Amino acid sequence: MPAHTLQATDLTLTGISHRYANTQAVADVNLQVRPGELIALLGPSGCGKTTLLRIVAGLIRQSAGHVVIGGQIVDTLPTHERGAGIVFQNYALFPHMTVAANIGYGLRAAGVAKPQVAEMVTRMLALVKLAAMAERYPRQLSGGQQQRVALARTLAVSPKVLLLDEPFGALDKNLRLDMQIEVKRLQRELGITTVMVTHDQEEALSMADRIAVMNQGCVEQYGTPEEVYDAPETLFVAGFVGTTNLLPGTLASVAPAGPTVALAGGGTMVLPRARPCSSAGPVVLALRPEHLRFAAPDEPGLDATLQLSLPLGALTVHELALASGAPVKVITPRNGEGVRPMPGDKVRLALTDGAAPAVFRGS
Amino acid sequence: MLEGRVEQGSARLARASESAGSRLERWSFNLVLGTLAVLAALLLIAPTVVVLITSFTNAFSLRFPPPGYSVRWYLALWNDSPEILAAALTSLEVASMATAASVVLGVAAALALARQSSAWARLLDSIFMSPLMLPTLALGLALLVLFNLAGTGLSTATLVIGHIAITTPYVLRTTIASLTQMDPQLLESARSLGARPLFAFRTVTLPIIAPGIAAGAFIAFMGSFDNVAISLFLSDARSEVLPIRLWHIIEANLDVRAAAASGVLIVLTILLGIVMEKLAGISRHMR
Amino acid sequence: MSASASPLRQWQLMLPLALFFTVFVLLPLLLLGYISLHNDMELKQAGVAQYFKFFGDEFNLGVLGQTLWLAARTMLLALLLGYPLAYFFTLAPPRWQRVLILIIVLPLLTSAVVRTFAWVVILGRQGIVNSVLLSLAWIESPAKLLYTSSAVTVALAQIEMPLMVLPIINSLSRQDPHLREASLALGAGRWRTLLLVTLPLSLPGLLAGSLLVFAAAASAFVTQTLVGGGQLMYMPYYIYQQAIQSNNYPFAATIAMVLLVAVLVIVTLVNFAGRAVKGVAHA
Repeated sequence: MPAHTLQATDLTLTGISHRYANTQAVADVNLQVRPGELIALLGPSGCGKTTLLRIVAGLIRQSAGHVVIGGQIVDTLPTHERGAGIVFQNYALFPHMTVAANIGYGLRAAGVAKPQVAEMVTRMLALVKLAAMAERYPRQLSGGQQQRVALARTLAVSPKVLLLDEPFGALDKNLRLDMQIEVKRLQRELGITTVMVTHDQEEALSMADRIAVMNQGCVEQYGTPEEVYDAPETLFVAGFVGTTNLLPGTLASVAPAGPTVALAGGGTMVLPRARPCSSAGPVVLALRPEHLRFAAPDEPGLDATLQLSLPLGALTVHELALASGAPVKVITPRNGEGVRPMPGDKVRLALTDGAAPAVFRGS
Repeated sequence: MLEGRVEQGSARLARASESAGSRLERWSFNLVLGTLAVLAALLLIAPTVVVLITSFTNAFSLRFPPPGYSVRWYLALWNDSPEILAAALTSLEVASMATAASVVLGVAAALALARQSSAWARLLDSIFMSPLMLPTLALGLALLVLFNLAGTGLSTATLVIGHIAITTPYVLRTTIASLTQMDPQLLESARSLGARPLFAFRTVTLPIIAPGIAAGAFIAFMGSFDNVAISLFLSDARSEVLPIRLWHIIEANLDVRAAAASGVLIVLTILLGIVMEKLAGISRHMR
Repeated sequence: MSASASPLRQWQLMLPLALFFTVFVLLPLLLLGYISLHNDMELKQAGVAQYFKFFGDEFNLGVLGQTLWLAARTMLLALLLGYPLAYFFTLAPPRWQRVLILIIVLPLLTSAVVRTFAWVVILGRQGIVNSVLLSLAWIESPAKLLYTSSAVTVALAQIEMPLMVLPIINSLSRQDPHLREASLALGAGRWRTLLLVTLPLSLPGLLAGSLLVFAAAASAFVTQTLVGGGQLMYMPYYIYQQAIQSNNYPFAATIAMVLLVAVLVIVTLVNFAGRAVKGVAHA
């Protein structure tokens, strides 16, 4: 089946800021999306990711900054001239039109002749595997089917940039994974530059080529899923992406063994490196649960009391408490070797091999 | 309605384990409120039913129950009542013209006002809706004064103008409701797909709000057709409308033809109502 | 809020109706007020004599009072009957609801003349009420039911009831049905639930409906005149009589202004009170 080829376009946002009444929704965002790349805008609700998406789409005129699509500044272009197709969480299919009419809408709006419209509609239906549904109405379709129609409808006009606003939010959990794979496959096949908004970090981590983690209107970090997960640049990113234990302590000057952090809850950790904060003083250590293991009492690490162990598939999640009472989560392989403590036991926690937790300036 | 079923199910469960006291309470509640509700419903229909039955009387008076039945009064209405038929025709003309104008003016204003929360918008909304809340009698008199002072006198045109003032609020209200209920993302999608504003309006907005407009137009038409307060002051001998004529008949000699005319109007209204319901589902817009 | 919608277009869309209303609603009402401020019928002398004449005469005050009192009684009766109807409507299955809605809405779509005529038939000497009472031998000769203020009240309550029922249905349907169930599950009886939960939350619709009925009842020319007859005088007929029959426009305008302002004041006051109570109900 011939692929629907598009000229891959790049998207650049420079200095985008937007103010609503008294709140700064977006603050000086600079992002560059390479042609054919899929990036995710990830953050909690209210962080400005949807506002940013709508600015790219032209639905909002930003207070400052420029949106550049394919080298062309589009700030003054109205939505219908930008070539930025947006797919909403609830699909927004036209209820009074059939699936075929929905998909062909954009082409009809452009004045394309009926036969060509019909041909493109057929191609799109085949692309999303909904050929049998052409004459149905949106209300007769399931959620997943509606989403595919919404996608087909947007792709039919060959947009330069594809914008997805929480696309899988309205789907059942089971369906979600299938649709994520489907969308990623389509995006790769067509090579279309895509920006996806989501608050689900697993979704972002699995689908995106790069992730922009946003908080209160700012982009805290923009990098690949690995970078964002393994080397968070700010405390917020460390806490938001994946599960993390955030433990306050004091960073001592670099000893021969490596940077050492004396934890407020008791114990010391020797780290392979201290990043992003490497100056001595109060810090916060971001320890992922999988970076900790149960160790022998003589190894450097933390002392904690085991409270609960929950099996979770191939892993076990342990909930412990430090001497100060602060909670710590540890994840170990369920059938791994080594110590198997019981609830109530005092254990020593040490870093796993190769673990490089992030260190942030504390207060 | 799932909620209704859940309600019934949980109600049955609740009743199974009820005490005598609460059973009595439930009975008294349902009895009192239910009686009132039934009374209300009967009160709403009874007059209509009575008029319909009376219109088939064969007597010369409005005695109820009628001594006998016949269609003579309907025939009299059709054959011997040129002034009633003329008035009906005038009403039809005026209502049609007023409704048409209302749709044009009202839909345009609705597009401007829907989803606007500014103080201006709310003020204008109140002003445009005011004929529904204020005694239209005063407006009728006021318009009479206006036309007299302006020297234009009364005519069908001035009558239509008066009716437009009271019909437009209906169209405005239902159209704004339709526009507000429409998912704004539909228009946003249309625009992101490349549709110019006018194209998007024609292909997305209009079809979706059409039932709302139709409902408003229907209520507006009936409102104009049935209106008395405005017509009382703006209707002259040449442009007498049906309700005024009927009023004169009833006031003067309680002619049974009035019953027949009422019967026709009632049946027509019911039929039109059913048709509009099937076509545009207007019962949704009545709330 | 969009990058491309020009605010100018919005104003252009609004203009036709705004112009129409300015010329044919606002202006005439202003004129009405202006006319009422003249002391003579030829409109040569400005002054407030008309208002003095109105408020100085017991008869006039009586007419105003009777009208407002009629409107209030009608409103209460419509509320008493209309609320239960609206209440059971929301609990009814969809098929019943479709039928009920047509029953409720039909009176609104038929002419006031037709609806009033029905009451003339019902309450007349040969009407159904008298026939029933006579056949039950409760009375010996036909009672004078028409041309009493009670008759007008009942007739008006029926005629304007849809205006009460529809907003209440609206308000009740927006309520979370689980609130009622939660209240019952907590042990509150049905009466308590109604009075403490359902009723307060439906207050907006209740007030809206009540005010609509009040305003409509105060200005119900046809019903007041046909059912009330020549002996009961209310403001609407007074206006008509002074304007069309006596050609006394300034006085007629005065009566109209008084009616307008009276209704407006009462509606505004109740709205204010309603908003205050709503604050408590939703707190």
